[in-house]
Amino acid sequence: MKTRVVLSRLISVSVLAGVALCAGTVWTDTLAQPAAKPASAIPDFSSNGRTWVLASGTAFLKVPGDTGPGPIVDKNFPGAAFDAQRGGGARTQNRIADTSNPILKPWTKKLMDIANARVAAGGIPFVDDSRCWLGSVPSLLLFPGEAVVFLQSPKEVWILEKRDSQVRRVFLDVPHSKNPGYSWTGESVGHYENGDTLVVDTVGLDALGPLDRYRTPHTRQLHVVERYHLNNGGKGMEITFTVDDPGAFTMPWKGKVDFRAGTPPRSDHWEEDICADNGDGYGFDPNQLVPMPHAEKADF
Amino acid sequence: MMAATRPAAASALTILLALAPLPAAAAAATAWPDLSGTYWISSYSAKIQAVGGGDPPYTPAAMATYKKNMAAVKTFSLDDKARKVCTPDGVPRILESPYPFEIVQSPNRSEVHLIYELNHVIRLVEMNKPLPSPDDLETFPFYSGHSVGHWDGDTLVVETAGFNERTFLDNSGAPHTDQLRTVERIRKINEKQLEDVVTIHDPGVFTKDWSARFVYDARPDIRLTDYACGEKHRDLSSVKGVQLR
Repeated sequence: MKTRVVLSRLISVSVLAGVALCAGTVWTDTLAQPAAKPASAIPDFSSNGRTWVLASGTAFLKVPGDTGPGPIVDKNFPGAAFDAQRGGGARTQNRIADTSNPILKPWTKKLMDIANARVAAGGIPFVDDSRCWLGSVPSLLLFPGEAVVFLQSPKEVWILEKRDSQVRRVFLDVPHSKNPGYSWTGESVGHYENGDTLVVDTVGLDALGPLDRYRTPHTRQLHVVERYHLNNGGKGMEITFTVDDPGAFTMPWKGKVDFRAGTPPRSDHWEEDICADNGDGYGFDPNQLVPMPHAEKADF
Repeated sequence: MMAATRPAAASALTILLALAPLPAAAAAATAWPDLSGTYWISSYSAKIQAVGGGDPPYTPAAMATYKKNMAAVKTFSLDDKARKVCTPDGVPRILESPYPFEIVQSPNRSEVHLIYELNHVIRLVEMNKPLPSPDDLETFPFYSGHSVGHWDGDTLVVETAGFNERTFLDNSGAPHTDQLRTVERIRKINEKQLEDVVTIHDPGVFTKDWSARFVYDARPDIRLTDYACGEKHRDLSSVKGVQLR
């Protein structure tokens, strides 16, 4: 039996019913869009044992020049300040989402306020990858401190996360499927632009884990367009994205993270890192923790 | 004087040869064999099948352990983290997975990745490099071990060592120790099929080395999908030998 019960630990049953209704929104093909034509030059995200690591902290940042509200940030430590206060030796504060952000629909805000209150009262905040949940899009961009590797072929890009060896696949220069179904990482199609950018369009994202570390929920209507842009002579990467989910948000919104290139060789950054090895609790009260994924029986 | 001019002439010739287009035969000889693609096992067996038949050559103590494990598998009571919390299956168990996998070869020929749908296992095979030192293999044991590879003609040879002891050799509970080492020989046997012959060395449980063979069908028609522990996944009913539970 799937352990997809996290929200029941985070929120009340009545609110969960609201989530279920929104999550059950039927996918329509209206979001399926053909990818653009391929650019002539192909940016190199992958060669020479290159690895990447999140460099901008574990919260989404506002895109420079964006006049919209931007992503959910910390109520007390906006932007990269949350990570800064953690790294400064001060007592680590738990994340409290700024739910005054106008992107939130009433039901989304209500959920997040409940989770905020629980954390403010001393509850253990839920972080999806800390409990071995698969990352989603764009939450995978916030997996901290561990290598990300791109593999590129003419037809496909693989984005490999060292953290629990998660894999995203981006199919190049093809349209979305008519019926992509729903999954944790959805269906991603992409193309290159301007010789320095990979554009990734993702649909079919199931309403499972949160979008970020502020427990921002979403529905199956989620549509994310990411732009992976090489800078600093290929030593840096800015990833901007647009989130469109009329089931959860009042408007499309933008966010970004920055990656920096690691030094080769690749093997120095790619030890096996299996989340389930970390046990069930880190010494915390297991009754307060969201269960880790597990199987009640083998499926073959 | 001659001794001085000969190397210079040889260098010039080398440069000219390097710049000239290679004859077709020579180009083929230096080409990197292409095993990249998506594959799915042709026939599944929970119990690993030794080449030549019969049981793997267990020591008596290991056989006794194996019999206990087999009984526990039937009741899902075996301490089998791969099936319960979805840790990697290890080698050779992952080779018999009834879920598909991908081979991705890096363009610069330094790495091959074996990416499995089951438990989203990623095996990194570093090409033309030695295995880590014995100390490192012992200090950093992995579920999937540490793998290095090289080409032997059209065959990818993958040597793996440095396993932890939290896995089994197959889905019937076959035990192993951290002395396990494997050598895989992976090649296309025709346009539509791939073969992986793995030789298993583990003096902790076996009296001698032995081999198993796995055959996979090329499946360019399918895409690998997310594998989330405990969720319903791909339909395996078409995989010969699978008993759905």
